[in-house]
Amino acid sequence: MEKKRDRRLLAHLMRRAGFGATSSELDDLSDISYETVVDTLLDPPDRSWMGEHLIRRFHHEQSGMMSAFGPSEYWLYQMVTTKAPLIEKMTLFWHGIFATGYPKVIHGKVLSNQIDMFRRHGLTELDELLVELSKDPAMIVWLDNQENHNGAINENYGRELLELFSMGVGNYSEEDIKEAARAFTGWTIGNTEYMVLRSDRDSDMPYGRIAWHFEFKEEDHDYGEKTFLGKTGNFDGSDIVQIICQEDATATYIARHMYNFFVRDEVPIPSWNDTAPIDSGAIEILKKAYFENNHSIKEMLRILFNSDFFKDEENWYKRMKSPAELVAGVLRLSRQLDRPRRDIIDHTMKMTFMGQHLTNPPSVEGWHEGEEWIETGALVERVNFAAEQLGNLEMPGVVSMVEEVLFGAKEGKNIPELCLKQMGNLEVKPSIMSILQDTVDKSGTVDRETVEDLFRVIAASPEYQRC
Amino acid sequence: MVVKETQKPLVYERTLGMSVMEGKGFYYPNDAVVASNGKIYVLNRSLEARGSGRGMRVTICGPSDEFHGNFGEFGAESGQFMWPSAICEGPDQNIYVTDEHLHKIMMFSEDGIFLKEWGHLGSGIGDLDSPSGIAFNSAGELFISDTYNNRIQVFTSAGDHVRSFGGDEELNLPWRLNFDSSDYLYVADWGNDRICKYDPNGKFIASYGKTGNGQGEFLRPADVVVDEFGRMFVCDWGNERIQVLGRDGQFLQMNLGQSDLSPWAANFLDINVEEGEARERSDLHKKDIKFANPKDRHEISSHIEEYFWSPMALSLTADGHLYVIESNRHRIQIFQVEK
Repeated sequence: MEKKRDRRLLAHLMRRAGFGATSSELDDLSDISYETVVDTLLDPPDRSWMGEHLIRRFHHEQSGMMSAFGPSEYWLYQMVTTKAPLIEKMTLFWHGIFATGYPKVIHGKVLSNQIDMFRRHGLTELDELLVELSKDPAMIVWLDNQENHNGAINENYGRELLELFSMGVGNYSEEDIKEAARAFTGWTIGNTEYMVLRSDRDSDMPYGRIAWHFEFKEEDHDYGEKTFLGKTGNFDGSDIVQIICQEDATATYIARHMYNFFVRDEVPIPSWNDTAPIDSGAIEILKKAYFENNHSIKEMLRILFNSDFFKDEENWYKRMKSPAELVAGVLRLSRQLDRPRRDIIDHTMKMTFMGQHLTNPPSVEGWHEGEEWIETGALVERVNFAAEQLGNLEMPGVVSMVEEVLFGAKEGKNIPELCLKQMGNLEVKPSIMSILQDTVDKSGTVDRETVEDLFRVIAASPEYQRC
Repeated sequence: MVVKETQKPLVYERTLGMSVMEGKGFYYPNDAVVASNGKIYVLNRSLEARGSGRGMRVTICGPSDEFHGNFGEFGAESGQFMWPSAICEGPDQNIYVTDEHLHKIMMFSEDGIFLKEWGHLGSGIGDLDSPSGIAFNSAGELFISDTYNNRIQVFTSAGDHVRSFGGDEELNLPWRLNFDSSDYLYVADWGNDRICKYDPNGKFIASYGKTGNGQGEFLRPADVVVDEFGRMFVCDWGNERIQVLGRDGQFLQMNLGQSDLSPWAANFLDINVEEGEARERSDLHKKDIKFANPKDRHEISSHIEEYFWSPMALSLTADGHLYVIESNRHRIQIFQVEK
């Protein structure tokens, strides 16, 4: 009985800390303790995936990254094939908060480099991540910090660093924004004039995109005294980040984002100032973890995944999967991308139709998540995509799943339950269960086509669309 | 008199091309052949048809920067491309193109008129799974890298299967291939990080190189051509460089790329004055950039424009020039090959 409970809990963990697990993956994980699985997700010994060389060998645009789609396709391959799913999930988490987009940057390679930076620093201390973010060339151009000069500041980055990236609105003054901006003067990219001009013109001539690099222009930095959040000194950008990271508001803001992403859909971020957290106790636990572990994101996550509020079944299936999570999860089950295939282009496009074009968010605020993912025609796209993939017997993963179900059926096991097990130990409400049983009953026989139909119904269920 | 070859044969000469989706230029070029009519046929993969399929074509140009036109387009119909992979000239002066998504070989006249095609997906005799490298031997037989079948297949120029060799034990996703003057075949054994040499009967006789980034080591080599002295010029794709090996495989030279402005590129910058002047004020040769991984050659090449970035194919001309086709920089760096 304990093992059965563990398998259900592990399935929940893998839906949240990853993109879902196959039945055989859950079998393997069931042999080790839950806590060890969490530790392994946080410090994955194997980070392999399909691999950059194989991708670049066949997808030349995912090598040169001239367009808006190269980075998102390349990233989707990583989400689908990685053995370290939490790393990709955290990359997705940070991209949603530090949303940086193609329409202004006009440079796929630097956006992809930013995603890679999240991959490297996404589980470190927040201070380190925010300094890296402040030096990130795509972010610099996205928020105009190359226009932030000594004596003529541009507040854009300073404002968003406080409002959207760390503390949330209402926790600082307009003067703090100006002082933060002063501290980031001279933080720019190399060859600023030429690179920005090329972006303004969407010019890839004569020889394609040239990647950007961070450059500190000493002569353009304001070395003067600043007063920021009540502290005074000759601060530079790193000092500003350090001060921000010591603030209670920062811990609250990051904790709430984490809860929203991993535990349960919260109200939209702009309402956070007016609406209390769903579970203020959980936020306090995460804040404590933040301060007691030197602002470590990894340790916050360890506490979160091992917490009672995460394990509470009341919170299961209470997050709407983002299009990226849905598409990656479906493709991990179907195993269509067993090698580089042109289908990645269509899959990424479908993700866009569902409302999420990675590296191309609607604004600096990122995407509106939760129920808003299904508020347009996107639900039809989501259901169709999942049903088409998981009801397709040409997909190697689906073939294996069907065989497992047919094998279990011969032993007289319940067919709908076998199908749900294959779909990642999913649990559906009674009304869906009835539909599944009706499908079996009407078929009169259990064959591949019937199982295929059952997978389609499950893929369309509210529980599969959530996690 | 015996001519003894130099140990450092590559001398940079100039660059051809620039990045454009239509007309005079290239877009993700992935192979080229300098044909017997003196024209250069450059195969462009473009954006893999995200959207319209623009830019996927063969550009015909000349060695002195003449532009002769284009042929070919995106699509799944006869004579169309989806993942065009390699190009060569046949003994009949026709132009042959492989497509590794459609699993077929296409034949065009030297003017770009589609003539015929053959091939289909499979692993049986004569079937193809991602055909890439393509070359004719002196007997007019057509050799194809049957990439995902890990073998070399030989066809007549009409498409009839002749024989196959290689296999999983010998090759791992072979990419391009070429012959020396004695009909010995050299294959870029991409997944095994080495060059394989076969005798004219298809018997494996040697391999050169091993995994690494040192001298004589390779990371996912894409192509190899061999000159009259048996010197091997290897497109060391994953290391973003060209290496030259002696006939016995000893290291002779490497080059990271030395591109300057091609006449087409210079013309573009002359016309677009603001961009040209901003470029003049830039330092595009800066080598002391702080990289997250200082050994990541792909990343380094993405920042420094003169370096090769995704060098994907080579063409050795009768007049002693090596053409290096660079996909991500949409250009061809041309080197004189000294004897």
